[in-house]
Amino acid sequence: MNRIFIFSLILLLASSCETVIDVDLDSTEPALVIEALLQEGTHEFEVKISRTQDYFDAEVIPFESQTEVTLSSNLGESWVIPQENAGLHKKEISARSGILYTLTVSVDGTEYQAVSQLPEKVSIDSLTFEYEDANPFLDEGYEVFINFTDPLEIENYYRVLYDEDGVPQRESEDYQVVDDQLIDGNEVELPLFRKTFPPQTELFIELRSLNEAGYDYYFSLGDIIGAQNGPGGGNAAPGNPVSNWTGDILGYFMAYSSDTIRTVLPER
Amino acid sequence: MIRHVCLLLLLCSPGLLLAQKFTISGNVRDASTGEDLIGATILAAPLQGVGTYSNEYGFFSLTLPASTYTLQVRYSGYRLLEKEVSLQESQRINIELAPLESTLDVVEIVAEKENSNVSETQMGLTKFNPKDVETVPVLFGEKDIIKVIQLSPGVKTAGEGNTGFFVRGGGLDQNLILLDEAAVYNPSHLLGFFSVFNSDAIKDVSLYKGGMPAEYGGRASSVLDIRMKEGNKKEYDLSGGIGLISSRMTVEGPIQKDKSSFIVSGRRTYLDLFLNLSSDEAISNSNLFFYDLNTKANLQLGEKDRLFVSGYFGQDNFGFGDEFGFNWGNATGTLRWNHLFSDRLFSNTSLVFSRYTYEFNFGTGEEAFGLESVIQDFSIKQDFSLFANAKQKLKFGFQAIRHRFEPGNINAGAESSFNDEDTEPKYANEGGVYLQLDQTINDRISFNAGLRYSIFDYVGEGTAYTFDSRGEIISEEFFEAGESIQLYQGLEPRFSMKYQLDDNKSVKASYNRNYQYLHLLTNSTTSTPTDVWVPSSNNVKPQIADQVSLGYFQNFLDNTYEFSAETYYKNLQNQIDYRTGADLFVNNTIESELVYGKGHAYGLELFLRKQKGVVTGWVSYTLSRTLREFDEINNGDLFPARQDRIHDLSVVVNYNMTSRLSLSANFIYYTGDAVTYPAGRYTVDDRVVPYYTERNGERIPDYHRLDLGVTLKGKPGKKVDSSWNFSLYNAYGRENAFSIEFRENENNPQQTEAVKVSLFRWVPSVTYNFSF
Repeated sequence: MNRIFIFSLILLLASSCETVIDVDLDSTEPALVIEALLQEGTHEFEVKISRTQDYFDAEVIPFESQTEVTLSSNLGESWVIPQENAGLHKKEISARSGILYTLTVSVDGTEYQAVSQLPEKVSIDSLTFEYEDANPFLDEGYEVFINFTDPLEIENYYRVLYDEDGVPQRESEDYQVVDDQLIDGNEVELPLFRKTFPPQTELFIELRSLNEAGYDYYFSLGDIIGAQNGPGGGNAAPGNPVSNWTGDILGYFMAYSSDTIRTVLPER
Repeated sequence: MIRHVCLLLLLCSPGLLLAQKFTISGNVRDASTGEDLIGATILAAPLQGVGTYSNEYGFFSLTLPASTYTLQVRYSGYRLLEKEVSLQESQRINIELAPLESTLDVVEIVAEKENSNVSETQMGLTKFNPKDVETVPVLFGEKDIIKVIQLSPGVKTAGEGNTGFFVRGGGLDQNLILLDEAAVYNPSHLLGFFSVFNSDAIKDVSLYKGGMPAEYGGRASSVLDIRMKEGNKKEYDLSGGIGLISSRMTVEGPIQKDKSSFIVSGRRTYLDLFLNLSSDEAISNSNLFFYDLNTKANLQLGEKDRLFVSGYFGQDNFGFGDEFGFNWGNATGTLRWNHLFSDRLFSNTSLVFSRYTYEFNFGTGEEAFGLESVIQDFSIKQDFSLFANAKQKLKFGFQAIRHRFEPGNINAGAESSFNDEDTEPKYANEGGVYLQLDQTINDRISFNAGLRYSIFDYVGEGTAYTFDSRGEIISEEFFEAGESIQLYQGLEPRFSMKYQLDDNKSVKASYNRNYQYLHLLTNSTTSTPTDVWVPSSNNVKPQIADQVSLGYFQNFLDNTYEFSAETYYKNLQNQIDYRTGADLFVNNTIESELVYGKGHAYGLELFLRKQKGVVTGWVSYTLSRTLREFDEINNGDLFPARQDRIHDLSVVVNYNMTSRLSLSANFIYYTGDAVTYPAGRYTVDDRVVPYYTERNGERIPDYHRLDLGVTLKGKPGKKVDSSWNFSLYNAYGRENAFSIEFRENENNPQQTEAVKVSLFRWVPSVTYNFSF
């Protein structure tokens, strides 16, 4: 990281400077946010319902509306997801790939709906490591690659998440979603970010298979949080992520499957 | 109607009713270098207001009744030349103007400033000679004609230190940037901080903001016509400069004295040479440089023919060892043939090539992955100028361009994860035919009426897609090579007129319609090397601009001061914006990411310039609005474009203290950009995410800065002419906002904050220039 900084410094021949400033932002009408992730297999299914609040407002404002949540499938199954506490509904669900799920949420009598098809799981074949010397973009350490086989002639979408020494990595630079437009049907060696890790780091890596709506949501979310700071740079016209909810609300309902792998990087 | 046609016919049949006429024709040149001068005024005294201008090759032709005249030839920065001509037969004369030697000269010669800004019909035109503006202080001391143009009314910079520009509310891609008639697709180096135009190789720069002549077509908002020097026809000359960022070297000289010449001019940055010295391998293995090479030669083939060959090649190179490489650059080539069919009919034929590429490379051997993107044009352009008589000039011609787009050529090694598969290339044929009449009715009224017909054919081989309102593919169809997928055509009327109130005052009006068939897609705030050019297609309609403008022009105190006030209204159709989270990078169905809307721009431009005396410079002020309207954005309401800077002021001053020492300063102020700020926040994916409601509803803080410069010339009479230039950019260190970022506090992710990012403060620079 430090070296990138030095490099940019030379590049600009003058450091850019950052100052925290006061900006007067208008208050707006709070908007509804519903977030629900349905994982393949038997897992606790959570539906989080909340509202937006003023940007500089750090206190979480309690959610007070009446809510009902129902999950159904194209096989005719249906589950009422009971409320755990205000804005949170929970139930253990066994979800299977290939099935189209519909989530219906009623908030103070208004119904919102989203559908999501659970994609087939793509498994991680192995992890490989390569020790790298420092260069302008990377510190010295192990580069880590996730090896998996992309199914041929099917549109696949992936998201990679990982924990480093037991700590989930949530920075925008650790945010990675990929589609298979350029890698369709290949044995893929996907680098775990443009990043290196010191020897003996414990890594827990998750490869999520998403459907197209899920990819669109995460891709646009990545744009908003500044994750795609590649050669294209940031976005000129920020907007809200592309949601699959009916009605003009935020968030998503996403069915996905996941494979994980745990490893400790070797001594040098 | 019939009366008008008869009038036109009458006007177009010179000499039918009048006494015998003869033609004086020739070239206007610089007496010291033989370089042709573009836009010199030639007046035939004692006739009032009868005269012409030298064209882009320095040629002029004037047809007058037999008599004796005094030709008065004027060109800014040169001594007035008066030449007695007894016109009893047609004759060719070449006129050589002597450049003003020193600043003292400028003071002495008081009465010789031209008033062409008042007297010519063209409006919305900004002209700069690189020589006139070389003392203007600029970032890193890197002379840049585009940065000077940004200080003129109606032109706005794309951002701090950036060479991208907006003209009268148009987009970054709506400027037709021509280098010796070749379109330059990416005019910037090093993240946009430097333009590709090396001032040492440039002769003349004209920016048409409105009422553009019918010979130009292809972009909606402006034409930036840059002409390269032809090279010294009298003697060999070696000149150059060493600056903070780059060094420059130019060699020019005669091939055959007074007849033909060549010029080779190069520029290269040398930051990477210092990187190589670093003991840190990570830095010493890095590449980071750009270079430009301009070459041109011209040959006189007998009395009637001239041949010009010119080329430009430039590239940015950025990389680390063989692990990573990123290059981009333009190449252009122009072959031109001037031919005189008679002393009144001038013809130019140009064959033009232009290519822009960018390329990434990762790794080597079996695991290598490379990606290349190309846009390439071949074109032919034919122009005829008929100098019918002293009051009429007719220009007509045609242009044909073959475009080829290769959005992503992928080169993957056998062991690489990537498929060795290219995205589909796209092809298009573009054409234009035009006719334009320059007419002086009397010494008060003149007009310029033109009509351009343009046609654009998006052709196979390729696949055409159709999309639904959400951007999903509905159908696709394959087209064979050459088969028309979508054809567009349009008429582009151009009209401007002048009414001269008296010698020093005039009012002008103009209207123009422009079609634009190629579009630049960029989803970042400034231009980047990976921006994508796409052709109009079955999904993307051509952009259309209609502009009316009205102006008042006045010169004061013997043309010491020139003043202009211009107003304009511009209506833009089929403007392009993006869906949220649009993926523009190597995407076969990129068109599904686009939305289409309208644009409105209007404004008032005030310009006061002083070109004579010890103190020279200008004040430019623009009051304007730039609005956009898209069904998908802000519920279809009007919203300000990012460059909607309501007030924009530039002051440029140069003070010649002595013949060797000059001081200069710029002051710039403009309203902050329109930007989108979050209206709220919420949590998804375990992170705090900003919630946006209104596009460009807020403003970043206003921008202002002062730059200072000192130029010290070497003692005259020495073997080497030299000068030192010192400058200080942003002299009072204003922290102008480059962007405002909203993000989580690093220590407390629940706390969100606004962070202002600013770039250059107090950037000093020094440049040494020499000439043998």
